[in-house]
Amino acid sequence: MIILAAFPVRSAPLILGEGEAVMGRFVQARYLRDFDRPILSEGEFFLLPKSALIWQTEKPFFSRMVIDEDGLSQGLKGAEVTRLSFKQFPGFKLLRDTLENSLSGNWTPLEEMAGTKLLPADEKYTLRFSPKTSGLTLPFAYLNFEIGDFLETVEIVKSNGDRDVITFSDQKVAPVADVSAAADAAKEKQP
Amino acid sequence: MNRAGLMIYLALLCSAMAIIGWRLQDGLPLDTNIVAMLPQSEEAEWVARAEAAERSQGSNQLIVLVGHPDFETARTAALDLGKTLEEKRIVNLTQDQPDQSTLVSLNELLFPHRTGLLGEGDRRLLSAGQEQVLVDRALVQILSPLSLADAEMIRRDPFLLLPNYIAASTENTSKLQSRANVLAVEENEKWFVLVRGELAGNPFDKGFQSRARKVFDEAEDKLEKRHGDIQILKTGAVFYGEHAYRQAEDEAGFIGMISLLGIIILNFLVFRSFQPLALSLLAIASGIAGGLAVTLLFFGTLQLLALVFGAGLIGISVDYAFHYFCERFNQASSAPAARARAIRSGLTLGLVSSVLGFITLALTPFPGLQQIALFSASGLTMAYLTVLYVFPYLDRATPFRHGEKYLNFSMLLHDFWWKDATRKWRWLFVFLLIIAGGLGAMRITVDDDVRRLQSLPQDLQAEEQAIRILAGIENQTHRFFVRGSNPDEVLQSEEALALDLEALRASGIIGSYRMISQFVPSKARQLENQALVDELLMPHLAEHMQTIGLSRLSPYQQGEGVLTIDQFTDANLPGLFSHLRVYKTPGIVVHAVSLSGVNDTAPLAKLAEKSENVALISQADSLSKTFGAYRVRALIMLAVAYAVVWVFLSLRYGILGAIKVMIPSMGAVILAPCLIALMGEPFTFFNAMSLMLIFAIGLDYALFNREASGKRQRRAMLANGLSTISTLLAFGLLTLSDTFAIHAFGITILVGITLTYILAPRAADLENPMTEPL
Repeated sequence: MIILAAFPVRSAPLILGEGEAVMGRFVQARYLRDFDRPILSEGEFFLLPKSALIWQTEKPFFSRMVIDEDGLSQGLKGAEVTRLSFKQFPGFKLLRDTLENSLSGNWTPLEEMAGTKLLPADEKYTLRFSPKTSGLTLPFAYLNFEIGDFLETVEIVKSNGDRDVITFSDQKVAPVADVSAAADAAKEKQP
Repeated sequence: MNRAGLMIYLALLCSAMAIIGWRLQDGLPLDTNIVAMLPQSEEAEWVARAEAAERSQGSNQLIVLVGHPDFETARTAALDLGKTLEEKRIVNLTQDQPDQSTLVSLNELLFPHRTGLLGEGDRRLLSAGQEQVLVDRALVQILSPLSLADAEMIRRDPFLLLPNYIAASTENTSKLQSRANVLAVEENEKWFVLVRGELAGNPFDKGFQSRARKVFDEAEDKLEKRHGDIQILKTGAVFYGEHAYRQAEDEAGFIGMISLLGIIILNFLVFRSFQPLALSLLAIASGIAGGLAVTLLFFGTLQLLALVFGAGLIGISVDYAFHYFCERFNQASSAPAARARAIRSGLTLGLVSSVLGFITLALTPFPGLQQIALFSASGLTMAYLTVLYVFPYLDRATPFRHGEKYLNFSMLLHDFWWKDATRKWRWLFVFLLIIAGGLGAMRITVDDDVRRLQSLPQDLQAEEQAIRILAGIENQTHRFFVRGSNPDEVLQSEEALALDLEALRASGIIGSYRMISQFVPSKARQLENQALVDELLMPHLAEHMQTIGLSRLSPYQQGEGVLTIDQFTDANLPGLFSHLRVYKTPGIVVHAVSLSGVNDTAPLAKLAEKSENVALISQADSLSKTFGAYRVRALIMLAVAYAVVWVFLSLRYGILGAIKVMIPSMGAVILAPCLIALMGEPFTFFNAMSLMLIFAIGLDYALFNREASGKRQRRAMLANGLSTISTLLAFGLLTLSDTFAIHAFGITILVGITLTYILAPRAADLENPMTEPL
C-alpha cells in the first residue's frame, strides 16, 4: 500500500466509444525560428470520428478549418480561402489521422506506428511519436504527446526546428449528433 | 529486241536487289502509322505544323499502372518494370516526380517575381479592393496546425503569395499521389503505381512494336512469378499499333493461305503443269522487288497501306502471266516468242494506261498516294518485262493439248454480250444493273469519322479506360492552338481567350481549361499584378509582420524584370504545362490550351472564329476531315487518270473507240460503290482507294478484249476469267477481315472486279478488230 501511495498509478486515458465524439478548446503557439515571439491562436475544436475535425480559431480572428478524409478546407468570413488535398500531400493525411486518434484516445495504432508504448510520467502519460513510414514525406519530424484523461498537449516539431505547441482543455464527450450540432452552432460566433 | 529486253530486266533486277539489300540492313522499315501516310490537314499551315509536332509527342508515351494490395510490392514491381523497359531500350522513363533540386530551381526561378504572379482569384480580389482577404488568408495559413509554410517561407514571403500562386496554378484532377518517390493511387484496397516513359523508338515501326511487346510480356511474366498477384494496366500507341499489325498479319496469313491454295489449284486445274505457277511467282517476285526498291530509294520507309495496296496492284502481274500461258492453248504456234508477241499489244497498252494513271496520282502532294503510285508503277513495269522478255527464255514447253472446254466455257460471257440470241437478256441485265445502281446511289452514305473507321481492340480500350479512371486523367478530346510571333504575344492572346473560357466554364459548357499563361502570365499581366500588390497589399505589410512577430525590413524588394517562358526548360516547367508548349520557330510560336469536360463544341468553334490566331483542334475531327479530303482527292485524281488514259488510248482507237474501251472499267468504278451501298456499307476513303485498283484491272480486261480477235478472243477471255478468279481469291476474301480498312478494300474489290470482268467483253469491237500489233 505504501509503495502504491508513493507511486500513484494513472488510470488509462479515456477512449471514445461507438457513436461518441469529442469537443473542447485549444490554444496554439507557433514557434518559428528567428521570429520575435510565438504566434498565438485559440479557439474550439470538434472531432467527429471518421468524418471530420473542425478547427475553429477565434483569436486573433475568426476562421474555420474543416479536415476530412480527403483534405482540408480553410474558410474566412464564410468563403473558402484554402483547399489542400491529401492526394497531393499524403503526409498531411497521416498528421490528420494522428490528431484524430490522439484526440479520441485511440492510442494503440499510434503506439504500433511509433514502436513504443505510452509512458507514465507525473500522473500523466507521454508518447514521442516518430513513425516509421514507407516513403511518405511527413510535415513534421516528430510529435510529443502529453495525455491525461484526454490529450492535453501535442508538440509538433518540424525538421527545420519550427514547432507548434497545442494545448487542449475543456474536453467533453457527447454523442456525435450533439457535437455536430454544437459545431454548427459555433459558426454563429463569427463576428 | 528480246535479248535487249532481257538485259534491261536483269540490270533492273540487280539494281533493285542492291537497293533493297542496302535499305534493309536494319530490317524492313515498315511504318504502320496510317496517319503518317495522310496528307497535311486542310488547316492553316501553322496549325498543321503544330498538329504534326503535337502528334509526334502524344503517340510516344507509354503509361502503365502496376497494381498490388501491398504498396511496397506494387512499388517494387513498378520500379522493376521501369528498369527493365529502360535497360532494354523500350522507354526513357519520365521523371513524374520532380526531384528536390528541380523543385528548388523552380522556386528560385519564380521567387523574385512573386509579386507579379497572382492566381486569377487573388487578382479578382485585389481588383475588387478586397486585399484584406489575402492578408487574413496568409494569417490563417500561418496559424494552421497543418500548415505548409515554414519560418523561412513566411519570413521571405509573409503574404504567402508564391505558395498560393503555385497551388492555384498547378491544381489538377489527377488522383495520383506522391509517395516514396513514385506516383500511386489506392483503389478498393489495392495500390497502383505509375510507370511512365517516352518510347525509345517509333511506335509505328513494326520491328520496334514486336520488340516492345516481347520485352513487356517477358517483364510481366517475371513480375507475376516474383510478386504473385500483380495486376498490370497499360496503354500507348505502340500497343494499339502492334495489335493492329498482328491482327492484319493473322488475317492476311489465314486469308492469304486460302487464296494461295486456290490459285495453285486453279493453275493445276487449267494448265496441268507446274511451270506456269513457278513463272507466275517469278513475275510477282520481280514486281514486288521493283516496287519495293523504288519506294525505298525515294521514301526511305514503306507505309503498311502502300505495301498492301501496291502488292495488290502487282497482283496484276499474275494476270500478265495468265495471258502468256493461255497462249499455250494456241495449237498453231509452239514458239514461246510468238506467245509473247501475241499478248504484247494488250500488255503494253494495259501497262502504259496503268502507269499513266499512277503518274497522275504521284503528282498529287499526298505522301500515301505517291508511295502507292510509285510502288505500283515500278512494280508493274518489272512484271511486264518479266512476262515479255524472261518467260520466252524459260518457257520451252509445247502447246497444251487440253483446254478446249475451258476456252469454250470462257466464251459464254463473250457470247452473252455479242450473240443476237441473248439480246433481250442483255438489255434486261443492263436495265437491272442500272436500277440497282440507281437505288444504291440513293443509299450511299459517306463516312469519314475516324472513330467509327478505327476498329480498336476492346481489351486495350478497357485498360486505357481503367487507367483514366484510376489516375483521374480526363479524356481531352478538344483543345485550342494559340499563335503569336513571340511567346509574350501568345501569352496575351491566351489571357484574352481565358476571359471567354471562364464564362463557358461558369455556364457548364466546359469543365476546365489549362493554359501556360496560368503559370507564366504575360509581361503586361505581371506588371499589372505588381501594381495591384504594391498599391493595395503592401500598405498592410508592416501591420501583418507585426502580428506574426517579424520585425525586419520588407522582404518584398522590387523584382528584377518579369518572368518569361523562355526561362523554363522542359525539365523545370511543371508537367501540367510543358506539353502545352507545342511549336516554336523564329516568328511563329504556338501554345495549346487543353480543355476537359467539353459538353458543346459550337461555342468553342465560335471563339476560334473570333481570331485568326486561335484554332480549335480535335484530333479525331481533324483526322476525320483529313480522311474526307483524302477520299475526295482520290476520286478527283481517278477522274483525271481516266482523262489522261483516254487521251492515250485515243491515239490507237480514236476518241470514241477509246471511250468504248474505258466503259467497262468506268462502269465498274461507278457501280461498285452503289452496289456495296445496297449492302449497307458506308463509302469511305478506303473504298475510294480500292477504286484505283478496279480502274487499272478493269482497263486491262477491256484492252485484252479489244486487242484480241478471232481465235485469240477465246484465250483472252480464259485469261481474264483466271485473272478474275485469282484476284477475287486474293482480295475478295479480305471482305472477311475484322479490320475495317481491309474489309472495305476487300468488298469493293469483290464487287468491282466481278463487274469489270462481266462488262469487259463489251470493249471488243467485232467489226473493227485490231489486226495490227502495237
